[in-house]
Amino acid sequence: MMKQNTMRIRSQPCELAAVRDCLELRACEIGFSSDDVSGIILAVDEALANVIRHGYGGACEKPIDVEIGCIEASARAGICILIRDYGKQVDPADIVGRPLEDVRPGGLGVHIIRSIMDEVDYRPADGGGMLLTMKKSVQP
Amino acid sequence: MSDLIQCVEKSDHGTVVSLCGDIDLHHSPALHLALANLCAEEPKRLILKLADVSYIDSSGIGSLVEIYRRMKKTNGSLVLVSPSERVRSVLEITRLDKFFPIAASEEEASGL
Repeated sequence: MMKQNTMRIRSQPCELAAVRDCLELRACEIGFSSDDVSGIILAVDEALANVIRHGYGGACEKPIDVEIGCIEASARAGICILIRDYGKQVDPADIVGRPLEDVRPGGLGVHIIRSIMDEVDYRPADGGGMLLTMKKSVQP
Repeated sequence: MSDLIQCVEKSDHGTVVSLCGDIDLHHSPALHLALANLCAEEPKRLILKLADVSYIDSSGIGSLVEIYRRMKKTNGSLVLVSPSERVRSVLEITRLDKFFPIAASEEEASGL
């Protein structure tokens, strides 16, 4: 993985727009289509919203580390995003979206993330909190 | 009033709300409150014009679902008009494009 943007934001909804802006720039540089750029932005935004709501229970001054990297493999370029929080740890097997047939507010974030990204990996981080790794390749 | 609401017009067809900007976790609570207040007036329809909405996340979608339910409770309806590409994409991903009535124009919405 080369070129990397690293940022630390606070767990405040108003901070998400800055991450979206950074992601848009990087994803465009890497060569994603505009639809894919929109999707990647949405997936990362949902992941951060989940950290704020569930990882930190709505507390708004907690740190979230975001790394945005470019995958420069021989076959296809791609993007890798790491999201590290310091909130409560959960069993990754418990992080599932709800059935979409059950239409009600909430519970859509995980479904959106998994629909958009090629790889999604949640794991407890060393020292507490969770580490989420998301990857997506440019479509040929 | 939410920053996302450009204008509100009330007519015999219902209440028409023009929205703009990003419906995200930061802005959706205020928007939800404003729309809930409009629901409380029990209009026949709540018509949301979404052509100028540049972004929506699941919190915004959740608000729309909740407002839809409120309108149903009073025998009213919620209609989305001309959602932008980004909004339409999120509706498709969450399969709510088949759940919400979606119209191409305010006139069409008046018939739904």
